[in-house]
Amino acid sequence: MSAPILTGHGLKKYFPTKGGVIRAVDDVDFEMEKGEVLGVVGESGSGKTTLGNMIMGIYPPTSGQIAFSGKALPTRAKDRPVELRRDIQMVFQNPASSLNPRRSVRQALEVPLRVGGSKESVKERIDELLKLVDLPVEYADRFPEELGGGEKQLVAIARALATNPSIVVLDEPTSALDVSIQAKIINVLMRLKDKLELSYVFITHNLSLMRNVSDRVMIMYLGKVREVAATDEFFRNPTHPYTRMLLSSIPVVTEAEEAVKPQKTQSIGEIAGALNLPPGCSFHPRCSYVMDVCKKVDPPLLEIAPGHWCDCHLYPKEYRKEPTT
Amino acid sequence: MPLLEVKDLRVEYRVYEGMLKVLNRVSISLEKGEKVGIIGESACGKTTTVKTVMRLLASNAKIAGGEVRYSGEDVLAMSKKKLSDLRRRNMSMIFQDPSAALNPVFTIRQQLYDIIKYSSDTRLSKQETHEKAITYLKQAALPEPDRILDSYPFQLSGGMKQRVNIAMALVSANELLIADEPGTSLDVTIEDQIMRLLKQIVEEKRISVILITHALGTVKNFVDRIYVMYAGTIVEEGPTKEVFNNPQHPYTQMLIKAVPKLTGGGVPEGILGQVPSYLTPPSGCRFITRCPYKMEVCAQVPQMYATGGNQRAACFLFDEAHRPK
Amino acid sequence: MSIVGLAAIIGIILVALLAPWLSPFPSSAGLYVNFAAAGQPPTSVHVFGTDQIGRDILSRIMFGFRYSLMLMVVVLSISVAPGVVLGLIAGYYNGRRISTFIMRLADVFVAVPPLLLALSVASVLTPTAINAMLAVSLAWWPWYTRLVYSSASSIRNEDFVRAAELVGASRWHVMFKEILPNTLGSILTKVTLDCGWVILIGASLSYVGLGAQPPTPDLGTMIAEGSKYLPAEWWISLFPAFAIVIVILGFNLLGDGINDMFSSGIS
Repeated sequence: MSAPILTGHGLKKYFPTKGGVIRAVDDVDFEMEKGEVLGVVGESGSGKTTLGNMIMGIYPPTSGQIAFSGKALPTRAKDRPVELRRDIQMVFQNPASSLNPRRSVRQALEVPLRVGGSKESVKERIDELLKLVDLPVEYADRFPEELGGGEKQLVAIARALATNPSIVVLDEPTSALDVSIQAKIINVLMRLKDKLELSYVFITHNLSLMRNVSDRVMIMYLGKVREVAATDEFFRNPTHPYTRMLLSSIPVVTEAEEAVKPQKTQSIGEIAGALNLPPGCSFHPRCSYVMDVCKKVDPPLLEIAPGHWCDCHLYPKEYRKEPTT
Repeated sequence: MPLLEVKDLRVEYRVYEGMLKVLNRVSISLEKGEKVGIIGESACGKTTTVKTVMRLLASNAKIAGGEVRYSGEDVLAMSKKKLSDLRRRNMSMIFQDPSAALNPVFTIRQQLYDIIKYSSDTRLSKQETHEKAITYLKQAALPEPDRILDSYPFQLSGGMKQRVNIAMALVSANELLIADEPGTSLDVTIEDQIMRLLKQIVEEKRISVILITHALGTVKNFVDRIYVMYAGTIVEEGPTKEVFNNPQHPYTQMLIKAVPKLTGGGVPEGILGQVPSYLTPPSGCRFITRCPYKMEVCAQVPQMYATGGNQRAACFLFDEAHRPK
Repeated sequence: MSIVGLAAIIGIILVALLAPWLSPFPSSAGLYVNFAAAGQPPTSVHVFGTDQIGRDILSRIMFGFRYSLMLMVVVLSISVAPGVVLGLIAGYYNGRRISTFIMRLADVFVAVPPLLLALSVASVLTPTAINAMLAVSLAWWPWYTRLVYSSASSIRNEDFVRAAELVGASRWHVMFKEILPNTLGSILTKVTLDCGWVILIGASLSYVGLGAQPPTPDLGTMIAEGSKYLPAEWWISLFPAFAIVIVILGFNLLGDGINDMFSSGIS
């Protein structure tokens, strides 16, 4: 097995504020293989966007390292050599704000092409990029306000690909789009992944999407990784109580999907505020399997099955499926 | 007599470029105690429809035809006083953005008291108002209602704000509650709680509900009947289970297929093409530009045809005269 | 209404440009004395009347527009560009020392009332038209800095700026090609409104004698000279005053129109 293309070790990002320290990302390890889609799933406060920003170098971690193809990655984007910066790109969540409303598609795509001194004819490359994302080449002279949400996102993807990256961080790329358009964007993304041998860090809160798109799923809650597993294994055997709560809350469309959701778990409680994290395991106030130790000790992330990690005091010693309440 | 009847509603908006002919002969009806959902993607006219019912349309909107009857009375021709009474005592609305309905510079107490006093026909003493406020907050499953009353909106989480909105809506929604994407801006686990709470409340109090959303899964477990809207037209209606298990209209079928499934199945196909412009909508069926089954007759406006069971679809495929062999 | 404003402004500009040919008595704009025609109320020959030494007021107003417009062009050219650039820098580096420095510098200049500042400068240097313009420019730039700073500091955090930085765009590119175009709307609106203001301040300076010196026709000077003869020979002050009102109103209406244009996103 080749070395992973991207790894994170002991990543922490703490934001000091007047009311205390916000532990946005609290000791996170992760690994991504080349050509893989790593799904990072979480709700608000989970730290998934901050993690993405750290990979991009937008925020330097408070501690911890990220390695790209085995070599340590400088923490700030500014400190990274240009080729390295161009090798990891990002697609943002909101199509409306990710394109400058006063610049045409062509002008937006020129930025990554001019910088870095591309020798090819820039115009040809722009046409190539538009074709790559299934947009007509005539769109080059359009402005964002003339494009639909899905089309704007495709332009954002074209822009991210302009520098021939190996890794693309996708931060909720389809959450702001209608269902009928989401599918198109996802299809383009998956096709390009195979064609251009890309690896994706796919950040989202949509588990149904993850089921069909990612190779591995990583669940985050309040800054910590709660469960990581290969997608099939994950959905066959969701173990962490938070994961089960998340799965049980997903609105689904077919009877078959209803049957797959954990039946005995229901969402309760609020996501704790960042400044008032519960002691021990920060999920314990909402957990129906809570034990005394959970209130005092933060559980370690342990491998409970090959490639399947979970941080919960229930595992791997016991493998209880019934809730205590 | 149905509680609410909307017949052949046509609404247009005046904009710089011309008239946006949004609603195109929309008809919906709602019995007492019934829960009805309107599903559709963005800008399909679902919010315009309910805003017309509550007569909250923007100043550049023009009601070009049709009627709206509440308990038999013509809402569009109603006097301001009668309308005000209706809003005060019979119907209310919850919006998508939990912060939007709450004034950030007043405490919850001030806002809730105002609503209670305004909607009551008799003068209430301070004690009575306070007791009512607590009752409503408790109905919305808010813990520590006294603390909530003293809070400002910014001190509450999204889920709590939405519960406050529900409490406020309950004050005047004795007969009809309109919920416009109530869970869309909330985290999945919180949205699940809010929707379950809402369902429990409306069933207990036998309040009729119109639930608007673009999330198919959310509406499925909530409403008895569904209307599917596309580009300002109702394209399908029927009992929830039947519409989901056996969608008739090509748009509904493609929409359900476009949702990624929790059970797997790969990345779904999207729906190719775009929503037609409201400035120059197709003269006949508005789905004509994207429909794989289009026929010549689709250049005319389709009626709602019975398709078996209690379902109806606005599609010539179900017209005896034009059904393809 | 903004079309009305635009029409008025275009009219005034044309009049100013073509004054030597349009005005009925072009010599009135210079050293000219004609006591025979002095002090005449509006007649068919002198539509706005004549002043105390026989110069045709209409002609002087037309030439007066030239001075006013020139003042406006010069002041705004000097003050807008540096003001905008400083605002962009302050917005881009928001939170860092250079940004604080620039904004506090702007605060200093803003704290002094523009007329007062202009008066002080103009009285220290010799009271000529050029010095008046210089003085007004000094008072003007910080408003642009503030305006641009407030937009730039929030635009700076938008995704598309992040995206440009992530692909390695230089900070100049980000400031001028990404942020600046999004602030143009408010800048242009302010420029049009300021045109009126500059003219008013210029006229005020002239009114107190610190701007254009006689015999140069200037709306403010004319009002000052004519005020001695109020209310009997009212036309000498009144018409120049109306002229100022029309100019300012025209620019205000135009500015409203530009504001609407940019905020509704229709070009």
